Amino acid sequence: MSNKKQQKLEVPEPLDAKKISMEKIPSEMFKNVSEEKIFDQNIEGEAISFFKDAYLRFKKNKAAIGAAWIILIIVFMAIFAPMMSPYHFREQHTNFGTLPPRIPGLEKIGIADGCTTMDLFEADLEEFGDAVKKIKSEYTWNYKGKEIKKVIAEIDMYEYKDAKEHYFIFGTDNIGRDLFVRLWRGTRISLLIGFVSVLINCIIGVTYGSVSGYYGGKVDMVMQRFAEILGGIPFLVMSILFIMVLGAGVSSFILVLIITGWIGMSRMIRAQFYRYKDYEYVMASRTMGAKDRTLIFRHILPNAIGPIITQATFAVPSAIFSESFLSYLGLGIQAPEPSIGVLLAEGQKVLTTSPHLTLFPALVVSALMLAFNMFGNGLRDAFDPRMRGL
Amino acid sequence: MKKKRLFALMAACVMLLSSCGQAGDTTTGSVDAQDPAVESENSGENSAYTGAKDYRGWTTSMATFNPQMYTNSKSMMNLGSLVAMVANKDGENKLEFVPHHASELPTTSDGGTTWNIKIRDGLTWSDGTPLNAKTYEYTMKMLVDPKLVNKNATYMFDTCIVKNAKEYFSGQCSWEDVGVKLVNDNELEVTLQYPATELDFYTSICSLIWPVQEEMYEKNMNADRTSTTYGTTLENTPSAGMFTLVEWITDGHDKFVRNDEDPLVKEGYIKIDSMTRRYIKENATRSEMFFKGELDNHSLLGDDYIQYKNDPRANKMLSPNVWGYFVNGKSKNTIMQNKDFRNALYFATPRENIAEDVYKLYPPAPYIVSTGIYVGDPISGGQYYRDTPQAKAVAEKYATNPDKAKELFDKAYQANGGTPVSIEYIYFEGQEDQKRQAEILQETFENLFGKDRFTMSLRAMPPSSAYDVYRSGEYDLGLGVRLANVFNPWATMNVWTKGYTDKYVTGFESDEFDKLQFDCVYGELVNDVEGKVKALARMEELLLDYGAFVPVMQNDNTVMYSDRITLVTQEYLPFVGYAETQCDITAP
Repeated sequence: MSNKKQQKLEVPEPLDAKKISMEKIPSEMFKNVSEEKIFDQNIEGEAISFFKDAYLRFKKNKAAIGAAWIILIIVFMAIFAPMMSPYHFREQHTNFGTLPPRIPGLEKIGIADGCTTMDLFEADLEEFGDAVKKIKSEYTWNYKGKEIKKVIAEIDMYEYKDAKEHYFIFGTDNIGRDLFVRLWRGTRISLLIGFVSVLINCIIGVTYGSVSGYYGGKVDMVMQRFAEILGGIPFLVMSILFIMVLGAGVSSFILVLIITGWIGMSRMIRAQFYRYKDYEYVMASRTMGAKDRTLIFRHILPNAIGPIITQATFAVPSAIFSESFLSYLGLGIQAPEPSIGVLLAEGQKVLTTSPHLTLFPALVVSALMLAFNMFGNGLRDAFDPRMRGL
Repeated sequence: MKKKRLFALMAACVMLLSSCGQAGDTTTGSVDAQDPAVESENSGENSAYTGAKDYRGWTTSMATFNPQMYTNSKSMMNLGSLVAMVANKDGENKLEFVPHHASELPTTSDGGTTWNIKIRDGLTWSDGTPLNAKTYEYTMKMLVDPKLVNKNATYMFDTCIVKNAKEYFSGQCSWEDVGVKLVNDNELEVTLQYPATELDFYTSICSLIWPVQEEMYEKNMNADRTSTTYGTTLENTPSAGMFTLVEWITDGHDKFVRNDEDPLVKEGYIKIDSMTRRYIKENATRSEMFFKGELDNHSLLGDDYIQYKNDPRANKMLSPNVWGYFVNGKSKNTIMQNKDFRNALYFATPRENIAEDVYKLYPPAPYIVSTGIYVGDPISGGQYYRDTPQAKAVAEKYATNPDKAKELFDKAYQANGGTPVSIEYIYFEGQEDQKRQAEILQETFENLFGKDRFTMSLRAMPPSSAYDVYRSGEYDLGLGVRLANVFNPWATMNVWTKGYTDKYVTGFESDEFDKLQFDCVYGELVNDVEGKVKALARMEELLLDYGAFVPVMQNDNTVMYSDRITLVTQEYLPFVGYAETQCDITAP
């Protein structure tokens, strides 16, 4: 450092405190520290916020955008499709049991035309009358020396069950309820379970993780051990016990999913707090007298917004899958209310005879899983600060 | 040119393969029929097939081979009994009682109170241990042991009451007071509290009490003699019947081989060499395996039935049991205490819809006593109870009637102060058809009575928990069944009597009912078939009138036997059905 500069930085002589108060220091007493010009570039254009930056990056991810559309369509259908259908999800037409899908327009080209292929005795054909659309093949079956004629016939089940004026586009279950309306109603229930449980998990996990991470020490140790013990209980055992005690229902399912579901979120938040709580700006704010609550919620937590959103997005399909899995095991929500898992569980029992009862719920749950995972991947990349500016 | 030929050859191969694939996909059970070689091999009844004859059966599970604990009589193929009920081996489509471990059919000298049972000489267990009258005495003692509290103890005091057996079971007397006396190593004397007919004695004490091997039983007993692990592993499951248990994989399968030393095997009642039973819970799996030729029998369910009901392999069974739901007239829910309300439920139950659209092959049952119940002597002649005019009158009187149901509900609703009614219905978890039945009942009742006035919630429970709830009385309506004795329905009506120990709470109590039940089983009507038929109709009427149980359907299964099986009877016989253990196998 040059002598000239050293001279400039010298502390001015002490003022007479009685004559000049701190608030009223005359401007001539101030001197510029440096006379050097700053040659930084001017910032041109609008400043980009954190969320806008994430949005711009998310927009570039075509798979994530596609996934977002799929989720939107499914959510839309879950909300509005049951209202659009002429049938109620509980409405039974017991004589129209297990009708295959029949879709106006498509039926003319032989797809979803309400027909099914059956292996019948020729003598039984009479019973089906006009419902026999086509004899695909004929053969003779030898039963203990007796030759019996059999046919592979295409049967119009709508004709056979006298349901020609109806169109069940996803078919019916075995007591004649419209699968289309039941599936979307079930999707609504599954989504409700997924979203509500994830929301509650986020609230508990964020609060728990924040307190644990911020205070650290003994508080952290006790809180983490508690979370570990809770997390050590097998999910399936706990779910079965809860559902047995509380009975199957939407609220029971949500409760099952939040008992341990918040632990992952709390660990992630705790890690964020450990990372940020010793940063200078946090220390400066603390020095300035900011309260713990302000430090937690205003200064540290916002850094975790991105990971929270991403983790929550991944947790939704996981919750839906858990619901489907438990329903599949027979622990589903109470009849006659459907859910995707309940419909799958019902469908798989008649998979060979009525595959449509499994096909459509399986397609919806697969689309949901895939879409939420791709959407979550997109969000993770978008919120990743390392990707900023890319 | 070469390329063209090669392409043509490949195309032909692809077409051939795809046509084979299609046949396999669509013609269930018909693939073999398209192969002339296989066809000729399978054709012809009773062909001179000399290969291995292993019957490939199934059961849902097998928890224990302890015959004193397990309740499924068809599961004890490794054990014999004093008397066996079998299909006549000459193909006469007849049922017969044959002495099995007994050397002759037991006889009575005093009109049915004291019975003399002679055991064959030279009987042994599979490990060579002798089986004689002592074995049966020990078996009966253990069956009613007050500390062991065996599930099947009631066999000693149900249809036929062995003197003081119930008292010994409840710890009120010593074994010496019980009416089972060892005369010598080959002779046993059983004294009953009330005289019984031959039919009742043979079908209860002589058929339902399977022997246990003393040494093994004692070896597996715990220190305070409150339980035994007898029959829980292959090693501690000795056999003494027409078959010997040789393999048992828990949750997998079991295998029995024919015991050529067994007296009935020697007499030619058993033609198969062995029987392998796989434990398969899912009907869809069983169906697939049957049509692939991996199982020899399969019960048709629901949608399968439309396609195969006229299949020559399909055989209609008659169930002695009627399924429905218990109605708790003692429920805390006050509306349940109203008789009009209970009757409204009865008349509103759409059993015809449920039977036709849910179960498909089961008939609706507007009655409590099944069409499979036989009255009179099945050997010398009798008839099915539901064919009698008394039984027909009951079914007519209690047919489904929605108008009457609505009228009764309106009365009950007014009596309830015009406040909306809400009840709960329990059904069995994991049973899809029963869930459907519950949903149909819910929808029908709510639509008929008005959703603003009546709501019904559904609750799924495991069957054992559900029955516990029925015992405790903490329910409104609950799906279930009370098993019936094919030849003595009066005996199994005891579940509705006041003094029955294992009662489901319904609030039904009737002195008239109790007296009729007693008279038919132990009293003045024992030998009066006509009187017993009348009494049974009256008992049924009393139950239906109170509304203790609403019958829905009778689970008459249709069983398909593979075409390599030749059954010993072409007609369904009470109790033994188509006697599948007596079948022959006529093809690989």
